[in-house]
Amino acid sequence: MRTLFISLISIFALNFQAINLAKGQDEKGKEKIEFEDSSKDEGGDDIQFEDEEGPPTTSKVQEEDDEEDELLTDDIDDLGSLDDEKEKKKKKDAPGKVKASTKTDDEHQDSKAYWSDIKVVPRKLILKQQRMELIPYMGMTMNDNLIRHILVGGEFSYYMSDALSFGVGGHAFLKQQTDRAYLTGLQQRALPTLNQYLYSFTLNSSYEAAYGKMAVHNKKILQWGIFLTGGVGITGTEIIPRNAGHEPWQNTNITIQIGVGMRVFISEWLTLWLSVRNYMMQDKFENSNRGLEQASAEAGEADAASRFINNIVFQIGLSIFYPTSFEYTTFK
Amino acid sequence: MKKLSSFLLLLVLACTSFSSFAVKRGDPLEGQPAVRKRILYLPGRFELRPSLGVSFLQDYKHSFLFGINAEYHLNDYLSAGFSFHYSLFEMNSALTDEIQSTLPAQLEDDTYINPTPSKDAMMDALDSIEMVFGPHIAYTPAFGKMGLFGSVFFDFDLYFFAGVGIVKLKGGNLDKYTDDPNNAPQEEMLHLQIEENNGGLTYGPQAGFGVHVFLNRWIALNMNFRWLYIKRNSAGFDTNGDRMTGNEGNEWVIIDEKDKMWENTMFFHFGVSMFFPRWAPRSK
Repeated sequence: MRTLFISLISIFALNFQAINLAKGQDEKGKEKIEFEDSSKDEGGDDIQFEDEEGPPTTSKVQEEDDEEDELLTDDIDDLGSLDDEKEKKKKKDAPGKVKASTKTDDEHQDSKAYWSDIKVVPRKLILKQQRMELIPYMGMTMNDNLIRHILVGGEFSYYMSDALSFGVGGHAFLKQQTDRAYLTGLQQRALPTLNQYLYSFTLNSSYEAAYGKMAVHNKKILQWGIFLTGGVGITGTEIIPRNAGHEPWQNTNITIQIGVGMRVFISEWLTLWLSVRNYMMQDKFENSNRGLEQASAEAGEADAASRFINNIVFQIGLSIFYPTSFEYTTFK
Repeated sequence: MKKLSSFLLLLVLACTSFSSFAVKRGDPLEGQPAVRKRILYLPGRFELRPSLGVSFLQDYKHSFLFGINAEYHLNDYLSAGFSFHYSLFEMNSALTDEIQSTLPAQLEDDTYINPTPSKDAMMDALDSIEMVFGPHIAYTPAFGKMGLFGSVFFDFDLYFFAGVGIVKLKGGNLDKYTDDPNNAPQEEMLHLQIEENNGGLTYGPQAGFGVHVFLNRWIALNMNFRWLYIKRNSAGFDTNGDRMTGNEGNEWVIIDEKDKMWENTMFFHFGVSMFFPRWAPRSK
């Protein structure tokens, strides 16, 4: 009976302690939130000033700009995944940055320690260095009024660094003549020379020139990057004869591609990939004076007209990174 | 009995203690805004944007436009505005040059047998964009910060807009190449009865998207893509094959409203946005 009584007392004492501990954590959390709120009042004096009293004086603007610079500097660290907490602390502890506080120093330090574990602006979602990327994509040609091509293809790249990659890519084309191609014959009594694209194959390099984050409705943060791309390869084309009795022929053209694209990061291994590229080449077309005596492909090609072509395409796909996971090289 | 009661007590002690320690601390950031203390570039501000633009995917003529856009931002997400763009000059598309190169210098004697237009007739029949204007509503769902080459940093936002686009087309003029159906057919003339030329006002839906890249609190670079869907007959010739009989019993081809077709017309604009009042506060 005595054992039972002592045990009940012990249970009560332990549970009381545990509940208080948990409650204390909650209160601590609340206290931090209060600190955040109060920090707006303390460290964020400028904000209150701006909201309530309109534009600050020149000196106030200078202070504001300083604060902005600090934020930008944080972003530089963040963008490079080089979160150097020491540097940040130095900045925060710098004499010019100390803000008036009504709380004790200990409380302030505790609060800082608590919030320092939380990254409000997250680091890069994907590190690409020494990873492979596979991009299945679809696309469409953009700058030919008479013939449109749908393209299906893929690209494989290897990242030497987080920004620079080398790879190979290629796609096949499916042609689709537009209404204008028929109307030109009806209205202007002219049948323009047309070539259809068959395939493109290029060795590519890309460099991620810009990296950014955006908040959608100030709720969800999306990260994205803009890359520049260039490469060299070949494109296969085939002429579309004006006269059904004439034989077509195919060309293989040396191609230079340049472009710009964008990735929206979805997970550690998946991104939405968009690109606009210009595939430039010197192509051979059927001569507008091709006669019946040039019905064979050889004769037609011998008299072909050569023209420089900008084939601008829009591509959209999903890029898959392998290995599918990676480790950050810094703690934050 | 004593052992059993001790065991049960220990079990109860363990269970209650675990449950007590398992009280959730919760995420202190839950429900909080993703970005605090950001500069509120848009709410309650008026935006004035001069811009230069170029049409693309045009069949015959590309237009280079100067324009101005006035917009009032009701809040962080919604704005209403009006834009006006005037074409400064035009440039032939590659298709125009190619077709022109295949056409004869002058019309055939008998255009009933060969109605191929001459180079000049083909060019004089084309329409071109003179001005584009219209109201729109814009929605700005996202804002953010971007770093260029890891060294230059800008705030930006992304917006979508939709509205009504009104286009004034400068019509072609084929008067000097056509004869009158009330008279006998003439040589080196196209037998066209032009009841409505391809100029004038036309309208249709317009939509697009763009970005502001903020250089400071009141100046931003702006790039936007605008898509318009309008009815036009850009070539200026017949598309549906309708005909009429002249006084002499010969056929004349009718060119009228029915020859117009819905066409995509796209523009890219680059401008500088100025926001008023010039001061933008920070959010809490």
